[in-house]
Amino acid sequence: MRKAMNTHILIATTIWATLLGHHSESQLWKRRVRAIAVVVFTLYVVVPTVAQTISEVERRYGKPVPVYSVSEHIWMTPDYSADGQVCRMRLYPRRLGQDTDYLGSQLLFPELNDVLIEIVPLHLRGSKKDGFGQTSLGGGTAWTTYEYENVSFTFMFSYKLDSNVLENAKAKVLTGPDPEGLPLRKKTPPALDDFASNQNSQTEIVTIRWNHRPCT
Amino acid sequence: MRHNLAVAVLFLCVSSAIGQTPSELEKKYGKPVVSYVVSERILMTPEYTPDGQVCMMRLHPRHFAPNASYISPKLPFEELQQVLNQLIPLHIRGAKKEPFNTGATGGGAEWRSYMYEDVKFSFVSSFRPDPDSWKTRKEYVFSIEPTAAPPQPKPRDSAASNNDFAPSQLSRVEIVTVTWNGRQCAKQ
Repeated sequence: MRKAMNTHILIATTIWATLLGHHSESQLWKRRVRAIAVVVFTLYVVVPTVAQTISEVERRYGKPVPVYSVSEHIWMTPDYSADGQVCRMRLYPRRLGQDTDYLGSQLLFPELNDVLIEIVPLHLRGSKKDGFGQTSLGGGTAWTTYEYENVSFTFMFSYKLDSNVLENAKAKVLTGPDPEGLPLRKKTPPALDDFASNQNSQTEIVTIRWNHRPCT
Repeated sequence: MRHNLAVAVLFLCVSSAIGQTPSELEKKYGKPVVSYVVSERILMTPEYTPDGQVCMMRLHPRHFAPNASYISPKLPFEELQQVLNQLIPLHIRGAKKEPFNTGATGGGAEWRSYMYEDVKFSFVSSFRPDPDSWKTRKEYVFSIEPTAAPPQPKPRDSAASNNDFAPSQLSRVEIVTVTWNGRQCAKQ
């Protein structure tokens, strides 16, 4: 910082000396004003300022992203609807503590499940919707979506296919009724073990969406 | 009386649900950790001295853009290097201090430090040793006699340069901490 300040002073002095020189009184005033303008411009715009204070950091990088510690190892970032209600929450592994750095990319299931129950208690979720717990795969990433009437949870995790999977593949005959012929599922209430199918997958991100609140 | 009790129970039930506005979230979870988006995949959390100067910056992975999720916890090296050069340009770091590039490993993590006169960078990476590596182990013969005097460090260019962090290029860097040597962070 001291060095940067010295550089600023040096630049300012050089510009001042170059612009002033020997001139008549009126010219001298004009040049003084111009020199001041150039120095101010140089100090604040041309010389790349290194953000060193809170206001400089905010000026450079904009408003910070809010990150809440919702448990020992989980961080949460919310988004809001136009009326200031939370419309989406994204949960991911905590990185920083007061004196600790946390490595790793997975959310521990029991801790995650407790947090989800605390954030959206069962009685606020509404009934489960059709397709509850379906998983989609693609590009080394998988998404499992648990959709209720009022809220949806998406669990994301990465996976690596065994390179021998094609060699070991066997023909599989699907048994049971055609899915289109299945009776409509009755409205089922939420339960504590709704996310159990993700217990053994290595969940890295969970997104909670409130279905009736569009985010701004 | 019964009516009042019902209202109280209802109030307790409702208030036990999670906060739905920023102020309710803050009441429940405390002040949020302040993180700035310094590049597409990197967030920066600063700390300050009592007089408001930045004394520490911690860089960690950004998991979300408005319409994207990033799963990897790794900081992309080229992007990281650009961010570090932007946040702490070479000319404000001071000369390199010896030992400049030091490392320590333990518990699946590696810490690598790069010391300059005015600022210190610590790269924290995770690694997974191959579980079968012990099977391929071989006897190792130390080439230096234990009684011999330690070799003097080779003199090198002490000016900060763009490839100073190259030893971390192949590591799985997850967190970088930058601390200013002459600045004491305020206690939180």
